[in-house]
Formats: sequence, structure tokens, C-alpha cells
Amino acid sequence: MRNKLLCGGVLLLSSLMPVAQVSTPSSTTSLLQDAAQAMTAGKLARAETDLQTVLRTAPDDYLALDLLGVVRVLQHRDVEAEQLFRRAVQKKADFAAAHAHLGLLYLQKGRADDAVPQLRESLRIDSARTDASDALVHTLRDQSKTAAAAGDSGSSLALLREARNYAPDNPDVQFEFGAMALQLSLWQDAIAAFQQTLKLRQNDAVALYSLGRAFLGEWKFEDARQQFARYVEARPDDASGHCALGMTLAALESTQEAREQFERAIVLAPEQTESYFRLGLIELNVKDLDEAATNFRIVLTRASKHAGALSALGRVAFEQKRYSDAIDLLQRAIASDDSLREAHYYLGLTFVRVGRKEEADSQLQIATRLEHDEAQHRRTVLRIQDGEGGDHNSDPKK
Amino acid sequence: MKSFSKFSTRAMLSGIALIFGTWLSFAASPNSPTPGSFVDVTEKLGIHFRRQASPTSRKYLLETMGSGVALFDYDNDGRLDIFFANGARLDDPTPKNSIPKKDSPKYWNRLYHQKSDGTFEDVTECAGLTGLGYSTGVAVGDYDNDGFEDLYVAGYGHSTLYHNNGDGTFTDVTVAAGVAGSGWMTSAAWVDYDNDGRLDLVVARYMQWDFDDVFCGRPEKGGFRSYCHPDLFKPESVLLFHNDGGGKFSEVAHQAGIDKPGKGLGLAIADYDHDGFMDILLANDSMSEYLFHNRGNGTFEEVGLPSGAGLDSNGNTFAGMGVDFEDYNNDGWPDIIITDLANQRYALYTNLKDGTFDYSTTVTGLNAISLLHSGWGVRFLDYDNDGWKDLLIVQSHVIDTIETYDPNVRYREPPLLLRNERGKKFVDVSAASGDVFHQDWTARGLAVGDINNDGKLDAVVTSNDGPAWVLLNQTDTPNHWVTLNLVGVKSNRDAIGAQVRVSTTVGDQFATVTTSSSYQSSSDKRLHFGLGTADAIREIEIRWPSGIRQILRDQKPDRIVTIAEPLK
Repeated sequence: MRNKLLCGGVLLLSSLMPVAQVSTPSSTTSLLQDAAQAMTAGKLARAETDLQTVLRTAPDDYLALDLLGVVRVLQHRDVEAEQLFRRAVQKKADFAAAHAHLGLLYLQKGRADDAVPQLRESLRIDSARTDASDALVHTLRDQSKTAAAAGDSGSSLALLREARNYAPDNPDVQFEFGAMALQLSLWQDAIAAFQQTLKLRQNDAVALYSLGRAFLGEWKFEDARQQFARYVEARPDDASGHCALGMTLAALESTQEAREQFERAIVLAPEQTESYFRLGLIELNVKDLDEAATNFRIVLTRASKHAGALSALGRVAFEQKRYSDAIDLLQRAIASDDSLREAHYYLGLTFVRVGRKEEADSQLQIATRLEHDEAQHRRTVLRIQDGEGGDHNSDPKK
Repeated sequence: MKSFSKFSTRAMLSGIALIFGTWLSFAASPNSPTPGSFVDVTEKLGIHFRRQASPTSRKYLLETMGSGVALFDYDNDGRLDIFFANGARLDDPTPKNSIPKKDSPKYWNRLYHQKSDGTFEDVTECAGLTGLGYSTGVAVGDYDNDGFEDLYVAGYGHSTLYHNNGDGTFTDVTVAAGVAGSGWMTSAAWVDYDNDGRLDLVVARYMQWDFDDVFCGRPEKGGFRSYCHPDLFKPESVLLFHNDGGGKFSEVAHQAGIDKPGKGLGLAIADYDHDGFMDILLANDSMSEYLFHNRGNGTFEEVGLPSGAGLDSNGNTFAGMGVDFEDYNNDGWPDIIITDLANQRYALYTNLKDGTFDYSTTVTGLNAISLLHSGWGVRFLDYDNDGWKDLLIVQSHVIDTIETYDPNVRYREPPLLLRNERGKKFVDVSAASGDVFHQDWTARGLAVGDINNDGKLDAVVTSNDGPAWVLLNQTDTPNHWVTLNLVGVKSNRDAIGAQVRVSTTVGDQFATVTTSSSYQSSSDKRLHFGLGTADAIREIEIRWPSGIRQILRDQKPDRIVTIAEPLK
């Protein structure tokens, strides 16, 4: 941090020199130049002498105040440094360097909350200041992580959104923002961020995979397929890539190709459950019930409370008119995950078949409510994406 | 030895024929299914209708939902005529509580009379059918059993019942009949739900909607305005008008238990449980689909969800729009097709004969075909007379800016022709079935009927804001056919609700007389059956709405047969 200040101070002086030459007497300019050179050479005593000389004749010289603040920081006299930076910004509120230095000093003292406004102000005045932007972006990312760890995803995302504005060409920031947006189901934001990540860092496999996931969330299956295909090409031995590609192909109704991807994923990671589950769903949809059941049972031998597999096996039993088994399996699925709409729906249908009307109505109502809630959630997400006051009620994917 | 040689040669030949035949049937299906041939003859026949949606910058939902079309013979000359429902002027903005008006001839509904040479003439004004307000759906039925088809034109805020005077003119009898309705009315269906011999009227309503200036879309710079999602509006119940006789109707939806609020767009009728009473299917937008089971005592029970015909196989709702309720697999039990939006897949429900349905979209191949399509009007029709009801679906997304949301989905789309492979699979034969299947339309309404009485089913399609299309079926096929024109005596004269089985050497087929299905449209009430290679009809069995059963044997094919209801 002290090196950053020194570097910033020298930069400041060189960049402001033409202005200083115009607005200050030539002797003052010479002294400030000399002080800056002395600081660069590590001759802090000489720099201080020069700056004190300036301040004796011009006690409000904000350049001298700021440079002397830098000297004090290098001398580990932080209290005085803070006072000098504060005086500098008092004398000239739109002096970006002093705000930056004050912010950096606060950061050094662990006072991030005080630092951030100073760094923001510095960048508002001079958006090209890399010392301030680097420090601010670093701080915002740290604060975002803290917020996420505390479960405050909204704040975490907002902090990363700001960091992204200051560092649009930083692939890490873009990726972190995309990841948080993905977590919050803000698909469009996530897509934009991952696309930017990939522009800045081509062939970033994790960003490719994440972009595919975001497209899946947006129901843009063809776009998702393209990303996962690139991912699989980059990482052919990663089972999760083949599984994700398979899911996308299944959504695109390319069931044979989907099946091949799931089978490849199983070869690569035989102990997994997801690809067996997805294979089972394909078989269930085409009513190859025995094959579907085989796959779901494999899942359940490895994860006995897998709600999706229990529910799907319940559907198989329903289709086979083994209603007692269906009820048992679907109730177990709901016990594992009572928000599983499909399980409530098929349990309701099963109760209808066995004449248990009241229970059927109850389950079908739950299924309807869950479906409605999911739709509302999707629309809320879209409103958030559109920003304050925005509305996006015309979701085409009703 | 000689006879053995003869025997073995014959056996060998028959074996080869068998193998060859088997191979042929495999080769023909499904890799090279028989395409259709539908030709656009709109201009040639003298049809110049253009539907006016009156689009505004406010993106009122009304302006994207289209209007329907009717194919019917209003003057009993044996030739089908065409009625088009049309929009009306919308101001930009249109004040709340407004009822739009047809203040220019371009907004008129249109009646085209088919002349003896097969061309059409516009007789709208003479017939007295210019219309009122923003018209949506149309339903044809002879509500007073006088032998002339009457017309119900649904609309926004007000619907109109036109009595056919039998002399080429119609009289607006809405007020006297008490069927004006209210709200946003969409499809309508004539059905004798209590089997009293008089047609009653069901009218679907979309939702509680007005010309409020609700912004939907993306408000940011570079964003756009779009049509609002129906979830923003409250559902609305159907109207059920009981025909009391004497030209009077009573609205009985509540008493009949059919007033469960929905977001109804499509209507179709069939007796799905063979109890002798017509049931009603309502395609709802973004809600569970409603199946109103007719209890036979003047009341209904909504059983969409418990019957398995309410949601898709994952328990999801979809944007139900067009609907048909016919037996696609020739098992004698009415099945259901409902069109919806892209990424939802058209919903096909197979009747399991026990009051429940199986979602058969995936197993019949409709999932892959319909994944990226958005459908409105839909009809089961046997375009190649092979004895299996195929599917004709007219398409377009509801949102004109959809391509900015999702580049994989298109606003304008060609129609879709799907061949029914013996009730097991549907195969897309659109590409080889004529130029019209390569044209991008904003289609909405679809009516089907044999316009030129040549034994092949034709179609009329409407667009949201533009022309209509008359599609003549010129499919080259040697297959036989029969068209049955049923005339009720004790039953309603249109015989709507009559259930017919046609039996030939190649199997049985079943159909129900109705004019209502598809989307806001009304089709030829005559029943058309493709008979494949069968050159004789063993048996025609009719179960009339009155309960009378009639059997005709040894009928000749390739003709239109008029059958009157026997006295008992």
C-alpha cells in the first residue's frame, strides 16, 4: 500500500505538472518537482523540507499537502497523513489524487467502509486512476464475498455489479458477477457476464460451462448446447460436461444424441447418479418403462432419498397401473422434497385412479400452487433483471 | 410332381409377395410418408378478405389474438360458403371501457357465397352481416331447427346472433335471444348439452381485460414494448346459454356448474366417456386446461386435472389456444390435441377409455416436431383419405417481438401438416406438401371442409393482421372416401353431437358431428371419412343425440350421403 502511494504520488506530480506550472509560482513548482524526485529516490527528509517550504508560504497548497501526506504514510505517521489528505480534499474537493490517497490509507488501516467513498469520489473525478480503481475493485470483491458468505446474495451481486463497472476488462470480476447472477437465477445478467469473460479470456472452460447453464435457465437450449459442446471439446474427460450437454440435447428433443452423452458421462464417472436419472427420464417419456425403472433404481441404490428418482419411479408405477407402489414411491419423493411439483401431480392422479378423491384434490391443488409459484418466481426474476421500476410481464415462455 | 411344383411356386410367390409387402410397408413409413398437396387458391376463387387487427403502440392484447372463420352452407345449395370475422378500429390509446366499432367497411365481417362455378362472391352487405364491434370467434348452428344455418359471432364486449332467414339474409336477433354476453368472448360452440333437441351455446371468455395502459416489455433504453402475459389478468368464466325454444336463451353457466374461471381461447365438444352426453373442452391460456364432464342432469363437473388432460407430463401448464377433440387412433374414443407456444410442445392426450387421458406428445413424436412452434387453429383431418386422421396446424407466435427475446423462435411461421402413422406416430410432411407450407404467416383461425366436394378436405386460414388463405387439397391419392351429412329430426337438426362409426375392410373409424373446434372457428359439419383401399362400406352406425341408434349397411364410397334421423 505504501508503494502504491509513492507510485501514485509520483504519477500525480508528473501528471499535474503542467497545471502546477500554470497555477503556482515557479519556485513552488520547482520545490514540488524536487520533492517528488526526492521521494522517488527514497530521500524523504529532503522531500519533506521542500514541501514544508512550500506550505510555509502557501499553507493551502493542496498539492503540497497531498505529497506531504504521502511522505507521512511512508514514514508510518498515518494519523498525520490522514489529516494532510483531508486538508487537501478540503482545499480542493475535486482533487482526485487526495481522495485516492485517503482511500488507500483507510484501506491500509482496515477501514474499508471509509475507504470506499473516497475511492469512488476519486474515480468519479478521474476515472482513469488505476490505483483507485484497482483498490476499489479489490475491496468490492472482498465485500461481495463477505456478503455472500452471510447469505446476502443481493448485496453481493450489487457490489460485484459496481466492481464490474470499474473493471469491465477484468475477466475475474466478470466471472464472479456471472456466477453470482447464475446463483440468483438472473439468467440474462449471467449470460452477459460470462460472454464478456470469454471475450477477455478465450477458452475459459469454466466460463463456457457456466454460460451454458445460464442459457439453460433462459430456456435457450440451442445456445446452451453450443456452449456445452465447446466445453466438452475443451474438457473431453469431464463427465459433468457430457451430462450437461445431454440435458440440453434432451431438451432439444435430440434424444438419441442425449442418450449418447449420458452414456459417455457414465463411462467417465460410473458412480454418479445424474446421468442415470436423465437416461431414465428419456426412457420414461418414450414409455420404455422397464428401462426407465432400471435407471431410476440405480440412482436410488446410490442415493436412496433422491426425490427426482423416487418421483420418476412412482410415475413408472403409475403408468404400469401399480397404484399402491406409485403412492408409496411418490409419497417418499415428497418426503424427500415437498416442493417437487411433479410428485404431487402424479400422486394426485394416482389417488384419482384409486378413488381417493379428497386426497387427489389436495395433491393436485398443491401441484397447481407450486406451478404458479414457480411462474411467479420466474417473472420476479425477470423484473429484477430489468431494474428498478422495470417490468417484463411479457415472458414469452409462459 | 407337377402339382407339387405348382404348389411350391405359388407358395414361393406368395411368400415373396408377403416379404415384399412387408418391406414396402416399412419403406413407406415413416421415412417416406405420403405428403399432401395443398394449393393456395384464394385469389383465384375471388376471396379478398383482409383481417384488420388495428395494431397500436400500446400493444393491446386484443390486437394480437386474431379472429376466426366459418365454413358452412348458408343457402343449402350444397356448396360451402365462407364467413370471416374481422377486427375493428382501435385508437392509440383507446380509452378504458371502450367498445371498438367497425366504422369503415375494411372492418366488416365478410360472407363469401360460393357460386356454381366454384368461385366466390362477397355478399356481406346483402346478407346483413357487416357486423358490430371487434369480432373474434364464430360458431355455426341451426339453433331453431328451421333447416338453415345460423351464425353466432363472438366479440369483445358484445357478441351477435344472426338468424338465417333462409333467403340469403340474416337478422340480428341478439337482444331478443339474450345472448349478447359480456367481456372478451373468444370461441363459441353450439352443443345440445341436455339432449332436448335444441342447440345450446357455450361461449369461451379469455379474461378480465380492458384497454388499460399497462406497460409490458423492457423499459430501458433500447428496450421495447410487448404484449402482456395473461397472468397479469384475472380469469373469466365461460357463458352457457340454454336454448329455451322460441328464439330465447337463458344464461345458466352458474346453475350448470360450468362457471369455473379460466382463460378460455379454444372450445371443442365430444362425448369422451360414452355416456351419451356431450362434454366440453376449454383450452385455457397458461392455466390448467378444463374438461367439463357432462353429468347428464344439466350440470357439469370440471375434471381437467384429475382426468390427466389438464397439464403436460411434468405437471406444467401451457398456453392452450387451439383445440380439437377427435379420435386419432381409431379406437372409438375421442382424444384431445391442444396447441400452445414454442418451447411448450403441442399437447396430445390419448383417451384411456376409463375417463382419463394419457399425455402422448412424446410417444407420438409431436414433442420434437412442435418444440419450436406456436400453434393456433388445429384440426384432425384425413388429408390423404387413408383412414387415419392427420393434423393440420396453423402457426405464429403471439408476440411480434419474440425474435428479440429468443432468436430460435419465430413470430411468423408456416403451417404444419402432420401425417398420422396408424395412430402411433405423427410425421411432419409439411415440406413436401406444397408451397403454402414454406410461407411465413401470422395465422390464427382455421376451418376445415370439403369446399369443392371432391372428397378431399380443404382448409381456410385467417391471419392476425392480413389476408386469409383458401387451401385446396389436391393430394394425389387413389384412396376412397365418404362424406356424411346428417340431418336430425328428434335430435337437433344439425345432428351436432351425433357419434358415427364407419366400418370397412380396413377397419373402423369414429367421428362426432360438430362445427366447433380449432381456434375461434367453425368447420363444415359434414363428417368426412377417408376409406383407404376399401371400395365398400360394410356398416355405418350412428348414435344420434336423441339416443336413437341407426345402422346402414353396404354403402358405396366416394360420395356425399345425406342421412336423416329415423323416427326410432
